[in-house]
Amino acid sequence: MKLILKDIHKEYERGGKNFTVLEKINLEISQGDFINIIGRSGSGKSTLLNIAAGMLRPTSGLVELNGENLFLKNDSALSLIRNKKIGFIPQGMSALPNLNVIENIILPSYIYPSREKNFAEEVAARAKDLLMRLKISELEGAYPSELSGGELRRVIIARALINRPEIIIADEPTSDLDVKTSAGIMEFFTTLNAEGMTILLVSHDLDSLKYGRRVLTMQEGNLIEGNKL
Amino acid sequence: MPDSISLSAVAKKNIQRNPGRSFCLIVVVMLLSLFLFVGTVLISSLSGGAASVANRLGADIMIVPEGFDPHVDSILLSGKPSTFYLPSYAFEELEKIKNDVGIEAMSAQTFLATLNASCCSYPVQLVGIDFDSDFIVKPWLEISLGHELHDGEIIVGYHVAGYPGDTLQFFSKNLNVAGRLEQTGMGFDSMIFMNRATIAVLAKEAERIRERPLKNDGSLTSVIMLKLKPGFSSTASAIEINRLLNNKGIYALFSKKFVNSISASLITISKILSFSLIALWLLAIVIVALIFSLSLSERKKEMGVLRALGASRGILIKLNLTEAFFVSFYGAVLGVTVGSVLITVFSPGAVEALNMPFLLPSKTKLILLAVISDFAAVVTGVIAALWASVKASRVDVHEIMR
Repeated sequence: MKLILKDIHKEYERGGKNFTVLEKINLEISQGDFINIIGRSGSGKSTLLNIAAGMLRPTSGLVELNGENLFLKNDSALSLIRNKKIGFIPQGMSALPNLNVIENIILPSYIYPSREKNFAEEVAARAKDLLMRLKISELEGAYPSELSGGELRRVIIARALINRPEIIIADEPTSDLDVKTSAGIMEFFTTLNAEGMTILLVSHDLDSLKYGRRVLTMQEGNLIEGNKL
Repeated sequence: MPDSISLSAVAKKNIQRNPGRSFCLIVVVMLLSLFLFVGTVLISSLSGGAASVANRLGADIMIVPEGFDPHVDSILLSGKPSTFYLPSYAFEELEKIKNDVGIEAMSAQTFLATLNASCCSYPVQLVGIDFDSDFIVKPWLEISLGHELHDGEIIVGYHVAGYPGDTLQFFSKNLNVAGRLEQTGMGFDSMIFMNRATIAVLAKEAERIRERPLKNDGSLTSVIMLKLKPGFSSTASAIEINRLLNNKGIYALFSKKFVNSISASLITISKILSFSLIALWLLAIVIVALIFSLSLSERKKEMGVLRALGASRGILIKLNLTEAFFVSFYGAVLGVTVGSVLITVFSPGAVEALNMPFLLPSKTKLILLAVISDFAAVVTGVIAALWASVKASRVDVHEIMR
């Protein structure tokens, strides 16, 4: 797995004026990396993550996943890559309210369902395993509105992992959570990384700095090595 | 059974867990399908009734007692029982002018209304036919019966209670049911046919029971059906008969005018119904589109999440249209079901209220109309949701997920 962001520049137009969010970002993420990007609110962390996940087109620059330029692909091909290779954990509580916990978790597998004979059994087994690992097995029939913030975040993490992606991209995975719950989630990421999962996450929580192999700071549209906050 | 969740299951859960929104959408589509089905059945029934009248009224002109033409309308259209007789000289007068007005054949019929009293099984219109001269009903009766009607034998219309082998009593006389007629959608359905010898006996008895004579001669003729020679216009001949027999208590009724007036009413009703259906259809599209648009605007974050999970724009559109399909399908089936109940319960009342021939389509055609109404309602629902679905698929994921 290799994700390369090369000369990424992003501008937005607000009130008729152009605002530069990302100046010229270069980042290379390899198999087994655990990169923690920190920065103040509005520094462009989420923008960078959305570009890395193929959800936001940069003004210029390229994003390559395993040598394939993501933004040269059409919507169907890019969506398929997002579904199969990238486990995205959005900011906030992003579970679908009309589906229960187990349905939310297995949903990504059924967006492009396989015709293989034991597909449903395999997906269900993976989901149960993730529920167990995230210590939410008893919640599989519950609906998102019945869960606490920490439980819901675990459901979203399980959903991101269900398709066995090559990389987890997480946007503020511990925001709005108490210290203990945040630590539990970050420890789970550490375990995943130890098992070989590549992780790219952004946070403005300085407590998260002790997790991750590499820390980068987003400052005025540029990525700087280390904690510069 | 392992846990699984197909996109159609997601659509169904969205419907189930948003009962208020789903109810509104289902009601709108239900009303559309209900009006489509009932409207098309109504138009079809009226067209069938008019066609039936045109087929059955084989006479070019009907001679009726002066001032009794509305009675003939009622008898033929709704079978409302009535008794009246032509003057005894009617036949002779027509004989005198038959060459001038182009009469080829004449056949007498006798109309006798039964009573709602112990002498009669129920109030109904009795019709006596002169089988020697008849050119209208006889062939039709013979097809259903296979032979001429004997004295004391009757054939009953579709809505008359009585089956072959039964005995019915009218004016204290027992009559044997020899056959039943197919549904015609007009007054024939509520009539009982017999030969003129039988009806003469009943008429005598009717006079005795009523204790007042309804006629003062022995002709017992209510209407005379006329067939014109080729080349003669029924309009012109009817006008000429009325001119020649003025002040003789006889009126020539132009049969085609009768059918034409039904057709004119039918066209008006069809226009009103068609206009209402088009208006309802447009309204349904706007309402469904608005509800879907509002709903999808509220659910932008869900759309963003699905995009983040890898759903393409096409999949999002498919998911939303699947939801629209299910909602429309439930509404459409409900609408046709309610429509079927309404037609069953209210069609007899509608016949009376409209005072027009009304012939419900065959079961096969009804099923076809139901399927077409369902299909049209479902397609309307899906088309209405298309714009909102396409718009929702273009959601800016980055913006929504912040």
